[in-house]
Amino acid sequence: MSELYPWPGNYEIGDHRSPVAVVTLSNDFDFDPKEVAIWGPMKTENLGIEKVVANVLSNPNIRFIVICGEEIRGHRSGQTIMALIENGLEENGRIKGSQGAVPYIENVSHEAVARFREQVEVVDLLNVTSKEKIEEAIKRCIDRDPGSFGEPYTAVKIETEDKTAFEADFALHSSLKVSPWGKISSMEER
Amino acid sequence: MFSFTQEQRTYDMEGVKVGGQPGIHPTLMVGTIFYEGQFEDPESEQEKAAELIRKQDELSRMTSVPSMVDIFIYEKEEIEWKVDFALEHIDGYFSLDMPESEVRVKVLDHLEEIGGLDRVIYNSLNLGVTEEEIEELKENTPGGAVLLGYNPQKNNTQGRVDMIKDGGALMDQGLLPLAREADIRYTLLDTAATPFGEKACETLRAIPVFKNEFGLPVGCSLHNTVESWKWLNGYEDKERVFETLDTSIDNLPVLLGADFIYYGPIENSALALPNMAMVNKLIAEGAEDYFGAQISEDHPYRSL
Repeated sequence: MSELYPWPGNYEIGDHRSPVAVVTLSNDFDFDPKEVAIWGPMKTENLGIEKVVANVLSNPNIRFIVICGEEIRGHRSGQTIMALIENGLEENGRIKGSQGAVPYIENVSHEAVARFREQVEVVDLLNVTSKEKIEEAIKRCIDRDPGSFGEPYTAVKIETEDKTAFEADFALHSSLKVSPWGKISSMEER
Repeated sequence: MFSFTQEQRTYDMEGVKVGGQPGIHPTLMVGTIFYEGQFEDPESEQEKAAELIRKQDELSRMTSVPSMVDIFIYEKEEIEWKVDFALEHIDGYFSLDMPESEVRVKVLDHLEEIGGLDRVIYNSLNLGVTEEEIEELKENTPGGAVLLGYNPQKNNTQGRVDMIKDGGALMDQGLLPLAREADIRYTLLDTAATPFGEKACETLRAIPVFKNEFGLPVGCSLHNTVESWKWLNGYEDKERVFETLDTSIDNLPVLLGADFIYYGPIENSALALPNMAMVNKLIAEGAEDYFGAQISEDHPYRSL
C-alpha cells in the first residue's frame, strides 16, 4: 500500500507519471519502473478488480490498462475487467457481459466505475505471456499518452455498517444468545 | 465447546455422517484434486491423482475422520475425463468444484447421460447461478450441493445468511429455497472464506450463526484465507509455515461448530486428517462430559 495507491494488494510501483498500468493476471512479470506506473497479478473477478479500479483512479496519469498474462481459469478475471470497461455495471453491481464466476463490484461506487471507464483505455493482451510483446504494447501506450485525466479520484470503500461496540451484551453475534455454559440459541428466545 | 438449542440435522451420506450437534460426529474433511497448477499435464497424470485419493482414504480409515474428494473442473473440455476419473476411482459421494455456470450445466447434462448424478456434491450453488442452471438443476438434480454464502454487497455474517435465506439484495430467491425447489437432498452450507481485509473473520462468526439459523451442516474453506496473506510470500521458511497454517486454520471453524472443511490440496491429507482427529477428540470429550452427548461409534475419540 502506498499513499498514491491506497488499496492494499499484490502490486509493484513504478514512475507515477507513466500513463500505463499492467494487469498480469496469473503471471508474475517485472517491468521497467520508469515505464509502468503500477503492475501486478489479479486473481479474482470481484475483489481483485475493485482494487485495480480504486488504485488506477487515484493516479489520473494512468490512461491505459494493459491486460495480459494467462487468464484465471474459472474466474475469467481478465475477460471480466475488459467487460467492465466495455459495458459497465448492471444496477445490482453485476458486470455486464462477464463470463466470470461471481462478477460483482460492490465495494466501489457506480460513479467511481464510470470514471474508471472514462479514464482508461484497455489494451487487450489476454493470454499473451511474451514479455517482449507486452513491453512493445507499453511503449506504444507511452507514445500515445493523452496526458493526465485531471484531479486524482479517491475511491472510498463502501463499508457495511456493522460495527459493534465492545460493551455489547452478547457473544459471537447479535443474533445469538450464548449462555455462560456454552448453549447457543437465538437472541429472541431470551 | 458449544451446543445448539436449534435442532441440528445429520446427513448419512452412504455411511459418512455429517452435521448434528458439535462433537458427536467427526468432521468431514474434503481434499481437492486437479486444482490449477497441481499437475503439469493432469490428464496424463491420473495415476498420481488416484494415489493421492488412496492415501486420503487410508488416513480416513486410520484416524476415523471421514473424507471426501473434491475435483476441480474449469473447462468444458475437461468434463468427460474428470467425471470418468471420479466414477472409476471414488466410492460414494464426491464433490465437483466448478467455478463457471456454463461448465456446471454441462456437467449435469453429462452425468444425467452416463449416470452418477446422485453421488455428486455440486460445488457450488452460488450468486453466479444462471436461469439456465436453475432449470438444469431441477431437471438433472445432483445428490447434494454446497450452498455458498458469498455476498459481495454485504459480506458480514448477516449478508452471508441473507444469501442462503432469501438472496439479500442481489438475488430474487435465497440459495436454500432454490436448492429445495430443485429437490437437492443434501445441502451443505459454506460460510464463504474471504481474504484478510475483506471481513475474513466473518467466515468464522457465521459458523454458529448458520447452525443456529438453519440447523444444517455448515463448513468453510479457510485455507483460501491463508493464501491471501501476502506477508507469507516473503517469509524465509514459507513452505513449512504455510503447511502448518493451512492445517491449523481449520481448527477454528470446527471449534465454533463446523461440520465439514474443504481443507485445500489433497496432498495435505497427511497433516489435515490427523490434526482434525486431535481436534475432534478434544471437542467430543467436552461434548460428552459436559453436554452428555452420545459420541458416534466411529470417532477418533473412541478409536485413537
